[in-house]
Amino acid sequence: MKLKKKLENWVNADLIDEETSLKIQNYEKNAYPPLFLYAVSGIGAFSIFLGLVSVIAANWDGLSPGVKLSLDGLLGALLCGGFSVKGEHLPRWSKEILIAIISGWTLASIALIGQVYQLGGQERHAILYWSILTIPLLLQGRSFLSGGLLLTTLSTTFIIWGEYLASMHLLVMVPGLTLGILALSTDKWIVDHRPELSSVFTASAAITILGAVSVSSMNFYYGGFNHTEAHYTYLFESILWALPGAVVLWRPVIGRSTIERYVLIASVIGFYLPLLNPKNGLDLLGIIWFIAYWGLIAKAALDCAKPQLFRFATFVVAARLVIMYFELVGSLLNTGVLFISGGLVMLLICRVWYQKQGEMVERYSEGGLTDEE
Amino acid sequence: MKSRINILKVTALLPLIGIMLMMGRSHLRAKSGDVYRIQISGYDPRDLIHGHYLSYRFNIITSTSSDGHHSQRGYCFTKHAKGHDVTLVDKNQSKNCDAWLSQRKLKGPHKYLIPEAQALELERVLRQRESSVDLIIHANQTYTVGELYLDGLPWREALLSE
Repeated sequence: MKLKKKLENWVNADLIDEETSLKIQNYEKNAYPPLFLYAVSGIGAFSIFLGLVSVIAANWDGLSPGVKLSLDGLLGALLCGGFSVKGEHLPRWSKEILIAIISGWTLASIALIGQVYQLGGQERHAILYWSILTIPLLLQGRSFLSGGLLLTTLSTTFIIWGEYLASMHLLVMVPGLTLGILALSTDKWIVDHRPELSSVFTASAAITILGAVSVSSMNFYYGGFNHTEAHYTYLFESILWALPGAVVLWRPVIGRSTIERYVLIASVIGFYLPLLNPKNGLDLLGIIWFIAYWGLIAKAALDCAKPQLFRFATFVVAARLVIMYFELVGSLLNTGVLFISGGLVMLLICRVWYQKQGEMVERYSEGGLTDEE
Repeated sequence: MKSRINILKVTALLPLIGIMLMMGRSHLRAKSGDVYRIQISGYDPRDLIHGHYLSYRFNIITSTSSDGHHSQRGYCFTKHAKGHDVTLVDKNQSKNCDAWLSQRKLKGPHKYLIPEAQALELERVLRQRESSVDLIIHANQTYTVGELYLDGLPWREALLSE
């Protein structure tokens, strides 16, 4: 509505002609996905799904195993058969929702067969089978929903099998896998053919890395690293797992800004170095480590014109400073000195923030964001 | 475009085919093989049922049979007119048995799914009655668990007769 009014004003002011105005209106009409339609249809489909589940669940115990399996098979035939026949002609939003429903149905069916035939509740086999059956279909998705489901399926399978094989090895593999997922998200084929998947991979890997470095800094508080063969072996194993992802990432990162290279190096060091700390009580170092890392993230966000990340990173720094007072509070004199110095630091951050935000607005207005992105 | 459509069709049918195969295989396994009714007892007698599951072990497992060093040992099932016998033998003696299962596979604890609504009642009855399950042993030395019995009656019937 606002756009139409603006366009009318521009036509009246002879800035654009009627034809251009119509072209812009048509473009804007088709440029964005029908989010409202997606949301309402999603809620509707989910509501029907919940209703069916409730009706069946209410009478479930009374049904014989044969009826349960027949109902399940019928539902599967409708979903998979229908999707196979009509899938290509369906609107994108309904296709994506159907993919998600089929994935859910597959998992529920495996559980049902396991229950009916008393297969013994071996969850890891069930999850692996579910992954094998649904990953090819999820790869056909073109939305964040399918991408998120794919990542969930892969992660669940990895975690459940890693836990079964050896939980310590599962932990040491996490940094390597995270870097691997991030490296995968930069792959040209994925970026070109599955941009949504690439975004999901990037976002989840970034969240994991930011979270892991933040949590790792807590090791300055508690220590715990023993200079024993076992701990060094785990560390060495973890670095080995992380190397391929870091090497693959280095190539795309090297072509980008210096700050992005620093972030990658800082993330790797920021995660591993605190883990080597054997002593407890290095609280101040932990706080400085945390703030320095998030400060770097804020700077990188600023340089890469990512205002939301910049705001979030500066908020995290500010929140950490506030939490610091609760942690380091001591005598009245110490508390007073800390509050004064902390207040000065916060004011300095605010000044830099507003100054930089102004620069960012200026850059966007020159079209810098579009160019860099 | 054509290959893209085919990929979509195949990937959409794959879950259905996979589930149907799993159903068929599970059904065949439940209906084939030699059936031996084996007595069971709660794995933790103080807490028999966890949510939907009865946690149990086979009574044929004795303290001597659970020795992990004898990984080649297993249970030899032999049928006779009055029922069956179970003895612990080495794998190389298994050709004299009607069915053989390695002791590792039977060690447990095992889980038997029951409807949660009947869990409390079943737990009470399990403490009073002798319980057993059908162990369906296949030619490839694997097994499937069949019906749960209480004093020889399928558990649903046993609960109705209470």
